[in-house]
Order: sequence, then C-alpha cells, then structure tokens
Amino acid sequence: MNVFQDVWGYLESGGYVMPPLFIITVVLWWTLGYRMMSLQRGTVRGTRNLVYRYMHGKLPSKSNGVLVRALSKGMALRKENLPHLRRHLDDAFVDEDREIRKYKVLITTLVLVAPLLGLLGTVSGMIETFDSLGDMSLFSQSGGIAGGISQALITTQMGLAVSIPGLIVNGILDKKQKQLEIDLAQLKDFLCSPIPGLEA
Amino acid sequence: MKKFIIIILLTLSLTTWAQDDTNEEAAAAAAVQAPPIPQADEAKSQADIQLAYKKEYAFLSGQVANIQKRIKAYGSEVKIEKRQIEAEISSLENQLLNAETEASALEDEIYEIQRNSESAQDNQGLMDSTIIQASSTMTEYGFEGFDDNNRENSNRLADLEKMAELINQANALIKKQATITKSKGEFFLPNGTKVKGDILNVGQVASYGHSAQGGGVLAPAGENQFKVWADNDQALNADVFNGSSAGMLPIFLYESSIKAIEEKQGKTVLSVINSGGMIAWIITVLGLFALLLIIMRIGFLKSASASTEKLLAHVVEKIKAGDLKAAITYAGSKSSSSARVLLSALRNLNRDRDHLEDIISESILHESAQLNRFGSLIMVVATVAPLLGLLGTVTGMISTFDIITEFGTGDPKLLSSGISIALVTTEVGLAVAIPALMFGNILSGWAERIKDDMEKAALRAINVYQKVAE
Repeated sequence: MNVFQDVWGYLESGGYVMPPLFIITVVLWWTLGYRMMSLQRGTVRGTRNLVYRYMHGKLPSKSNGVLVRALSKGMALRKENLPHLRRHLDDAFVDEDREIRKYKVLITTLVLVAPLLGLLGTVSGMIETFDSLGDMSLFSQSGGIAGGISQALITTQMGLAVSIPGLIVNGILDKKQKQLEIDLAQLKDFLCSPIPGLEA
Repeated sequence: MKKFIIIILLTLSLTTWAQDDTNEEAAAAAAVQAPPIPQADEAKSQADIQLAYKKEYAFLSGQVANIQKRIKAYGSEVKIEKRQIEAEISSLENQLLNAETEASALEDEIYEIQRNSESAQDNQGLMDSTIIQASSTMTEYGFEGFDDNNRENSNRLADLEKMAELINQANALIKKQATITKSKGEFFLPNGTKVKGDILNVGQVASYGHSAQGGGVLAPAGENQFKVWADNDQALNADVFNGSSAGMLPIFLYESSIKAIEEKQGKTVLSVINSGGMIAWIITVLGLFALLLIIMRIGFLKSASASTEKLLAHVVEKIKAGDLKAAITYAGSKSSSSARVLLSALRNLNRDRDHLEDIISESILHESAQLNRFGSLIMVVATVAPLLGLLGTVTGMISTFDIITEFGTGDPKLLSSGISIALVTTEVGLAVAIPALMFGNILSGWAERIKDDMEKAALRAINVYQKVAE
C-alpha cells in the first residue's frame, strides 16, 4: 500500500507527461519481453551443423526456436523435389521473418519518444517555476517554485530511466535479429545446394 | 689598590711637607734679615744631618704604619659596607618582583572587568533589540507599547519587567490563535459585493464566512479584508456554522491577512497557446495539419492492408481447385492494393518466372506510391515543430531582455513572466512533435510490412499455381 502511494505521489508530481510515460514504460517492456521470447534460435550450433544433426535425428524435439522451425519446414519442402526451391523456401520462411521483425519499429519509436516526453515535462515545469517566481510563491495551489522544479527534474529523470534500459536491451535484440536473418539466409543457401549424405 | 692609596698618601704628605718647606723658606727668608748664622764644623753638621735623617725616618715610618693601619681599617669598613649594600639590593629586588606580580594581577583583573562590562553592554543591547522586536511584533496584534515617554524616569518599567509583560502577551496571543473564534464581520462575495455576516476564524490561518447572501471558505483580500474563495461548497459551509459538519472540509491556509492573494487564472489549452503568440498558433496549425495527415494515412493503410490473409486464402483455394478464372474475378472484386498486386500476378501466371517477378515488383512499386503518401510530410512536421518552438522561445527571450534594458531588473515579475511565456512555444512545439514522430514512425513501419505482405502473397500464389501445374 505504501509503495503504491509512493509511486502515485511520484507520478502526480511529474504533471501531465507522467501517464503517457507510464504507458510507454509498460508497452515498451511488454514488447521487449515479447521480442526476447521470439528471438530464440532454438540451438546454439551453426546452420550446417544443424542440418546434419537433423538428418541423424539428434535435434532436441522440444526446442521450437526460429532456426529449428525453419529447418523442419525447409527439409519437408526439399523432400518434395520442387523446381524453384528457393522461392518455396522464401514463402515458407515468411512467418519466421515476420516474427523476428515484430515490434522492432514500435520499440525504436518508444525509446526515441520517452526522453522527448521527459523534455516536454521539464519545459512545462520550468514554465510553472518562472510563473511562480513572479510573485515569489514557493508553494502554491498549482505547484509553485518548488513544485515546478521538482516536476522539471522528475520528468527528465523518468524519461531517461525509461529510455536508457530500453535502448540497451533493444541494441542486444537487434544484434540477435541480424544474426538470425543471416542464419536463415544461410539455411536457404544450404538447403538449395546438394547435401552430401542426404541424396544418397 | 693599596699601592695606589699609599702613593696618594705619600704625595699628600709630600705636598704638606713642601708647604712646610715653603713656610720654612719664608721663615728662612725672614731669617735672612736676621744676623747670619755662624759657620758650623763638618763633623757636627754630619752628625746633625744623621740625626735629622733618623728623626725623619722614624717619623715617616710611624706615618707609614699609621697609614697601613688606617688602610686595614678602611678595607674592613668597606667590606662591611659592601655586604650591607648587597643585602639592601637583594631586598629591593625582592620588593620589585613582588610589585611586578601585583601589577600583572591587577592588569588581569582590569581586563576581566572590561570584558564583563562589554558583555554586559552586549546583553543590554540584545535585550533592548529583543524588546523592540517583540513590541513591534505584538503591535500587529493590538499591543500599545510601554509609553515610556509619558512616564517619570523612576516610574518606567525595568527591562526584565518589560520582557515578562511581552512574554505574557505572546502566550495569551498563542492561546487565542490556537482556538476557533466566531465573530461578526464583513467579507466580499466572489462577485465583489460586500456582505455582513458571521466569520469563523481558525486561529490566524484560515477563515470561513457565512451570510444570508452566501459564503464559504475565505481568503485574504489584503488590509485585513476577506473574500470568498472561488471553489467551495455552500451546504458544507452552512453546516460548519450550524456545528453539524461531517466529513471532509475544504480549507484555505494563509500566512497573514494583510497580503492579498490573487486567484490564479486556470490555464486552458487555448490560453496557453494564446500566450505563446503567433508562433505558437503556427505550430498548432501545423500540428492539426499533421493530425489530419496521420488520420488520412491510417485510412490509406487500412484500406491497403484490408485482410490480405483472407483474400490470399480464398485465391489459393481457387487455384488449388484449378479455377484460375474464379480467382482472378475474386481478386478483381476487391479494391485493396494487395488485391491489385495479386491480380497482376494472377493474370501473368503463365509467363516464365523471372518475367513474372519483374511484373510483380513493378506493380508493388506502383502501389507503394500510395502507401508512402504523406509519410515524409508527417516526419517534416515532426522535425519542424520543435525548431519553430525554439525560434519562438528565442524571440520571446529577446523581447524579454529588451524590456529589461528599458525598465531594469527591479521587478522580478517582468523577467520571470517573460521567460515563462517564451518557454510556451517550446512546450507547444514538443507537444506537436512527439505524437507526429511517434505516429510517423509507426505508420512507416506498417507501410513497410504491408509491402512485404503483398510480395509474399504474390509469391505464395505463384508457388501454389506452379505446384498445381506440375
């Protein structure tokens, strides 16, 4: 109860930019969590190794990482002996492509917007401060000098506190995504070329 | 020393002797006039001389002994005297030492006394200033002062009595201020009319007014006058005066009833934009423009992406059934851009693959003009709005400093209100830029995804057709 009141007081002292910032925080971390879950490789090995392990049935059956799913689809298509196999693979991997790109733009945008919202709150806090400086009211109904300054500081703090961890985690996830894209492309190349030991 | 004394004595004796000689010579001279002395014989004269010598010698040696005795006596005398003098000196020195210690003790005492007198003076000053301060504080609450001018010197109150009096007064006042008092009085209604009624004072920090015409929470209006504060509840207020109040009661706390408290005008969005002046309005118009563009763009994208999945499922089903014509008519009946792309793919399914893919990418390019419409414009607004806000702030600051160069910095209100108005444009600029940036980014991402989907849909259709054709 006390913690809830503390948080509420903190949000109240930040003025009108706090609710959007709070919503942004929730959405940002939910989407970051989603991406973290969806960017699972399903294996630590390289693509070539993965194909051989698949042939020998050594793949862990429970794993449902992106690469493992793509591989099982690709092998199924390969068995059909289609012309233009690469196009079929492109079509088959659409879901994976979409999955690893999901929410990327949203996260980037939120991380960009949070500090700007903090700045907006700071500006409005400064306006309140200078308004109150005129009649030297340290505390007043609308906040006064002290309220304005605390609003100015708290909003910037909140904006940065939302943005910086999001930025760091987002950087890590982007790197993972790039690696997965490269792996998928490699997998396509590998499946389109003759695999020794499979055709025989 | 002794030799020296002897020599001196010898010379003295010799001189006396010489004087005797001169006397003898004078006598001799007198004797010259006397008849001449008969010649003496040699031997007798020799013997006479010898005798004279002996006499003289005896006399002189007596003298010497005498002198030596005197010298001895004199030396012992000197020794005694010296001892006496030394004793005297040491006693004097002792006296001096005693006197000196006494003097330093006295000096210390003098210093102590001076210090005491100084601190007493300080305390006196402190006391006086405290009394003056206390009296002036108490005069605000109806204290008349000690009227020292009208009293005889002997009749005046001592400082301590004054202090006691003041402390009693202050205690009484504090007791009075900690109670709730009810009295008749006048106050102003929100519309500015003066009414007579009951005033309930909560000590000296809050008041409530009640009259037939209305009442409520009172705020100071300067010069011990009160006015009804804008937001209050009449029924609750009446209950307070009937003594039957229940629940939460609004209160307006004030420091003193001398200083008037102005009600701040509530800030509305319009008043804020108005205070920002021309540039704020320009930014607002830009923001509304961006909002319109965003709404339109959402409309375009919605129509473009209208259920690509469903459409594709239908088409694929028909192709699998071998009914290409039905698929074409179905795709033609829809008006979304993904349907158009699919249609162009379906119409050219019989061509060779490379050619077909060229056709598809060409038709996607054609559609993407529609998808990207207004995208860059929204981003331009998002970029320009904060810059315009900054421009407004800079011009506002310049005008503020112009005012300062004209009127000086005596009034803090001039400077601070000028700055706060200057900052409004920055605020408005950011308020416009943030949503524009956010939606612009998200919509661009959406458009990219739609393009991807269209490409994939066409690819799926081709793949299915070729599988069926085999």
